[in-house]
Formats: sequence, structure tokens, C-alpha cells
Amino acid sequence: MPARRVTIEDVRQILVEVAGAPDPGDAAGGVDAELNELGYDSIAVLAAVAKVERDYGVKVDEGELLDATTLADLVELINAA
Amino acid sequence: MSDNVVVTGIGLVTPNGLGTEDVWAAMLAGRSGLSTITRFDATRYPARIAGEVSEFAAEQHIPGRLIPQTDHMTRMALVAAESAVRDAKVDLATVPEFGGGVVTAAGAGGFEFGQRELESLWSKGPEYVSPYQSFAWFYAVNTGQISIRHGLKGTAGVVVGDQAGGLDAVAQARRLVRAGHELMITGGADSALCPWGWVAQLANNRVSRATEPDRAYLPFDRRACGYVPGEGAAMLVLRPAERRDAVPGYGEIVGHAATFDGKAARDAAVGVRKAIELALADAALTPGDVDVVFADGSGTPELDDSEAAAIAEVFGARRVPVTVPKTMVGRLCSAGPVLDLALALLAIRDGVVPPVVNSAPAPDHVLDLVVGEPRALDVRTALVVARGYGGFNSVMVVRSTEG
Repeated sequence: MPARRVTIEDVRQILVEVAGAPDPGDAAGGVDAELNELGYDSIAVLAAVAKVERDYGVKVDEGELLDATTLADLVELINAA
Repeated sequence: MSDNVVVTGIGLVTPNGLGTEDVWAAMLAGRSGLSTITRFDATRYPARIAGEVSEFAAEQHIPGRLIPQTDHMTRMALVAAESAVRDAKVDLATVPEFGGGVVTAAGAGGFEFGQRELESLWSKGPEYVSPYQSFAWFYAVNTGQISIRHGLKGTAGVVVGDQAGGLDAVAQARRLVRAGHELMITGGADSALCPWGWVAQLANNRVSRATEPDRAYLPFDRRACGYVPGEGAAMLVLRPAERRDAVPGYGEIVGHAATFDGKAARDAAVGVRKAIELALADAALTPGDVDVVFADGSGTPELDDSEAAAIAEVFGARRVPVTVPKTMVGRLCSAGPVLDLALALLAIRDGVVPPVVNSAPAPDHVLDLVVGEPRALDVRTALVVARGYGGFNSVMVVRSTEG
């Protein structure tokens, strides 16, 4: 588990940093926003997870990454690491 | 579907301009984009002059999502492609779902992106390498990004052949239009102005080591001392003649041929000459029909001599005006000859040929070079020569669509 819980906002910021701003129109997407609809494909998610792992010293289960289709799923997966 | 393939849109990003009319004005004014490298500290390198695209803020032109996953060359490719589509005044939604495609050329790939990620790999470790490195460096990435951006699901492809590859890509797009595609985006984009890309180019021993920008790239001049590498993108929209929509089109691509040199230096003139002859045959034209030649202009004496010999053998000594506008931007690798094609089409449109700058060919040079100043000329047919490192030759003929 990360030293402190990772929030939706943390992940959103990391995604912007490593994969660019979300597609316009969906920028205000909430916790249930589909990552695909935000314009973040699997490579963007991989890039974000790599940064989370570096920043928080955790190892996220890559086998379950593809099942994380929303921001909330992704945050949950990270906090379970 | 007819065999007539028309260029209906042009998009350009070059060291002397951003956008077709901006570039064209710079070319007619003889405005050079060559300068001492600013992108990285080149003071310790033996060559320091390049054609940089410096006034280009990618963030103003492409979505933020694409910035972390694109090399500089891809950003320029995307901007040029979008500009070409806009110029063609085509509503892409009217193109059949699988009827539009993309064929681009790239000679180097995304060196700057690759260097940054490799530096991360060896200095910090694999977990610091961007997953986008998996495709951002790749030759084919420009085709992929353009096709995704514009929703073109037809045939896609990439050609790698240094300068010659640019014309070969356009030739492939022309074949695909003839085979039934209603629209093709085609052209070239290259940039390798980072230390890794720079040393890779220096290895060919043809890069000019001159220190003054106006003395560095002098094709067909006795002082010729190599070429200046440049960066940029040139994209075209090709359509079958009967589907030109609202625009008349800049001109028709009427001929193309590609040849390969043998090992001996004397074979180079034969290879270029054969490519010119075959392209004219493909166009069903004779040398006398050609109003202007956009030469490759390698800038190294032996290659200049072989090209001059080939042109003089086909057209006769000083029988056709010859120009090398790339003296203003450097050799843009795959984008270079596509830029020349665009300039040839604009010469047809405006009746004026952009010049060779800086070069001062001997008064009795076998070629009639358009030196220093643009030349007013009624251009109906233009021929573009492109040669790639390793012996690739590609020649394309464009012709006015009027009469």
C-alpha cells in the first residue's frame, strides 16, 4: 500500500503530466469518467502507473490494469498495491 | 475512376516559413532559414549549421494529449497534414469510410524523443522510460498519427528512402488513388537536430563544415563543400481528378520513376538520367515539354556533377531552367522533395520560379540555374529530382491541370 492514499486528483495530475491534458469536453469528468473517453488509452495508463510506482514506491498489479476502465478503478487499484 | 491524380491541398512547415503562403513568399524573397544550431550546444561538433524550424509552438497547433507522445517531426507532420486538408477544402466526412488513406516518408524517425528516453534508460533506469517510446521514434508513426487524427481508415503505409523516399511516398499515394482511394494524405516529415541525430548525419561525411550559413550549402558551385541538414514537413492531399470538390487543384501528378545506382561513381549519372527518362515516359511527355527542373542539389562536387550531367544529357546543355530552393532551408530528408513538389505547383500557379541562393555557378555551367532572384516563367510542367544516401533516385513530374 502507498505510504499515503493516492487520490483521484493525484492520478488526474499524473495523467496530465505523462500523457497530456484530457480531451476537451471531458476535462471535467468525475471519478467515474471512462479513461478512454478522457483520451487516455492503455499506454497512457501504463505511463501514469509507472510514475505512480516511482513516486510512491509501490508495485501495481499490471495484470489487472486493463480492467481499470475509470479513474476511480485506477485509483482503487493503486491503493490496493 | 480515372487515372488522373490531382494535388488539391498543400501543407508546409519549413525553416523559412510556417504555412504554404508564408513559405512561398520566403522562397521568392530568397529568405534563408539556415543558421548556427540553437537546439543544442553544437560548438564541440565539426558541423554547426542547420535549417531549424524555430518559430513553431506545437502546443498552439495540436491537442495536449498528443504532446507527450510525439517527437518534433510528428508534430510538424500533423500540422502540415491538417493544413493540407484545410487547403483542399474537403469535408472528410464525405469520403467513404475506407476510401481515404495516408502514405508518408520518414528518413530518420524521432531522434530527439529517442535520445531523451535512452538517456533516461541509462541514467535512471527502465522504469523512467516513457511507454510512448514504443512508437514515438518510429518511421511509421507520422502515418499512424495522421490517420488517427483525421479518421482515415483506408490503406496506410510508410517509405524510408532518405530524400528520394518523399517522392516515392507520393508515388505510392498516387497508385492508391488510381486503385480507388478517393483521398490520400501524403508527404514527408523529418527532424534529427539533436546530438544523436546530428552525429548520425555527420557519419556520411557529406554534411557541410562551413561556419557561415551563407557559405555552407552551395550546390553546383565550385566552392561546394557539402550540404546543410534541415528539418520540416511537407504534406499534400491527392484526389482523383473527378473528385476535386470546390478547388481546382494545383496540378496533376503525371509521371514518376525510381531507380537505384550501382557501386561505381559513374553509375550515379546513369541512375539519375534513367529515373528522369522513365518519369517522362510515365508522363507521356518529352524533355522539351518540361519548363523547369527542381534539382536534388546534393552540394558535394561529385554528386552535383553526376546530376548536372544527367540533366544536361536528357534536356541538353542550358536548355531548361534549373533551381534548388532547398538552398534556403537545407536538405529536409523525406520532406525535401515534397517541398520541391509543392514549390513546383506554386510556380505553375504564379508563373514564377524560386531561386538557388548563395551558390554562384560558373558562367559556363552546363545547367541554366535560376540564381539569386526568382525568374518569371510560364510553367506548365515541372520535374523534381530527389536522391537519397545509398543510391536511391526518384523523379516526379507535375503538370498544370489547365489544358
